[in-house]
Parts: sequence; C-alpha cells; structure tokens
Amino acid sequence: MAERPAVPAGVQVDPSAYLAVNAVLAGAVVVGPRASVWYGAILEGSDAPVVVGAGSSVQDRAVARGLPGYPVWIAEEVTVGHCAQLLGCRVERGAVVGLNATVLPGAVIGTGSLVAAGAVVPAGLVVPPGMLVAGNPATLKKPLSGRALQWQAKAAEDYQQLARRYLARQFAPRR
Amino acid sequence: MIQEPFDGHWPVVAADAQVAATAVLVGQVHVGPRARIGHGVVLRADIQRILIGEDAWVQENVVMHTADDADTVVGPAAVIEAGAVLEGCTIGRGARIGARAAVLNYAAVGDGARVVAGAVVAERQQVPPGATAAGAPARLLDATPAGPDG
Repeated sequence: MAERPAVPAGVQVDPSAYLAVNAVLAGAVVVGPRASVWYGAILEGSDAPVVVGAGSSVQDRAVARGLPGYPVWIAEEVTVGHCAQLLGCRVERGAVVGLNATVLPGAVIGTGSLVAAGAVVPAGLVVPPGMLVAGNPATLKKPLSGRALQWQAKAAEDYQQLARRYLARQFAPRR
Repeated sequence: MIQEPFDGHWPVVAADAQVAATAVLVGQVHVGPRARIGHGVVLRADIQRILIGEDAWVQENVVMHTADDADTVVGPAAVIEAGAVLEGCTIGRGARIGARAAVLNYAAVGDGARVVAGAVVAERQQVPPGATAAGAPARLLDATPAGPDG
C-alpha cells in the first residue's frame, strides 16, 4: 500500500479514498468513498468543515478552506483542478472547477457546471446547473452542451480509476 | 525530493540538477542537466511523460501533469515562474511562463516566447516563437518594434 499522510483527530477518510503522501487535512474534514486528494492539496477544516463527496477529486496544490459560517461542501463526482482555491463555497454533483480557478465564500457551483481555468467566482454567486462560468470576476457564459457534460462525467471517472491504481501501488520509499 | 513510481517507472533526475526537498516527482519524469526544481513543485507523470530540459528553471509551487495522450515538455533554459500550471503542452527553448499562468492541453509556446503572469493559454493554442501572450484566455500582444538595444 502506498504511504499515506497521517490523519489527525476530526478527519474522516473512507478507506477507498486516495490521499497523496503530502496532502494536508486539518480540523473537521470528511473524504468520501473513491474520492482522491492529490499532491500538496490542503483541506483546512479548522474553522468550518470541509467535505469531499464520493468519487470527487481535489487535485495537486488545490486548497479548500472552510470559513466561519461557510463550510466547503464538495458533492459527489466533482473535479477540483490543480491549484484551484475553494473558500467557504459549495460545488454540486458532477461540476468541474478548472485549474487555478478561485471560488469565493457563499458561491454555489450548480450541478454539472464548469468553472473555466483561472476564473474568479465572486462571493455569493449562485451558478445554475449545467452552465459555463469564466472570467475575473466570473460571469455566466452559456449552457454547456451534452458533449461537454459527457466529458465532465468522464473526468470524474478517470480520476477514480487513477486513484485506484495509486492505491494498488507497492513500493519502498526513495528519498 | 519526494519521488514515487507509477506503473513501475521512477523519475530520472540528472546528477547535476537541483531539486528542492519538498518537490514531488511521480512516474515518468525526466529532469535534464543543471535544471532547477523549486520547493513545493509537483511533477506528476502518471499518464504520459514530463520532460524538463537542461538549464530549465521550474519555480516554487508549479504543478505539471499531462494530457491523456500528450507529454508535457519544457524546453532547455525555459523558466516556469512560481505557481504556474502546465498540462500536456510544449514549452519552447528559453520561453518564460509567468507566475500563476496556465498552459492547457496540446498548447505550444514557441522558443523565446513569453506568457505573462496569470494568463491562460487555451487548449491547442499556439504562441509563436518570440511572441508575448496575455489574458485569460490568452491573446497575443502586438509585437513591439525592437529598440536600439534590440
């Protein structure tokens, strides 16, 4: 079994989830089945809970931080891209937060919606299901096509498969 | 440096490359001679390869991954500034990718080109050699005539 980071009190991680060796989970954090938290990602639940739902991925160096009154809720089959910053927000089922994107407190990313790479979603913006949001500050651009939605479902499935392969590795650490 | 294998492949790092203690290298990563890899960098080559050319400089907290079917290639003497993110793309010799910029799958940044801080080079976008790209999505800036100093 691959090396896992130490999980402090208050953190609940499903045994089928993959945690990269240098992921940091602090405070009230829940990581669901088949979810994955990649290298250098930080889930900071010391001020308000951070929940990562079943089959969701939080990719390398992403940050999810709960703020007082604003927990981070990542639903099922969500993809949070490399270096994304989620502050006290909600991301609904099957949505994708692109790499380097930022989502500010109280914002809600609707089911299956896509936040473009580098976008900054303003505090409190409620994005309806199936929408593309982009820009800084981010605005609603257009409804996503069926093809885009299929690609997003595949992104979540691909990461679950990758996480299974990481969990199955056996090796002696080399430093 | 934290190294991990994937599918039996370990990273390969040139003896005279400098890799910071907190950098993470996974799978088919090749780091060329005299390249520098900063603290907090993640080079995750689990699907395709990540190739870092000689004398390249990959600064703090940069993250690189690949496309499903394309390597990530950083050319010789290229500079990838702090917090930038590269997916399966090609960065030319001596090119400079600004801080917190992103270059997405199948994009190419030509030799000596510059991507300014915070820009997002879109999937399949081509930045020609010597050009400057800015914004999200990135647009090419008009070429500035060379002054007397070139």
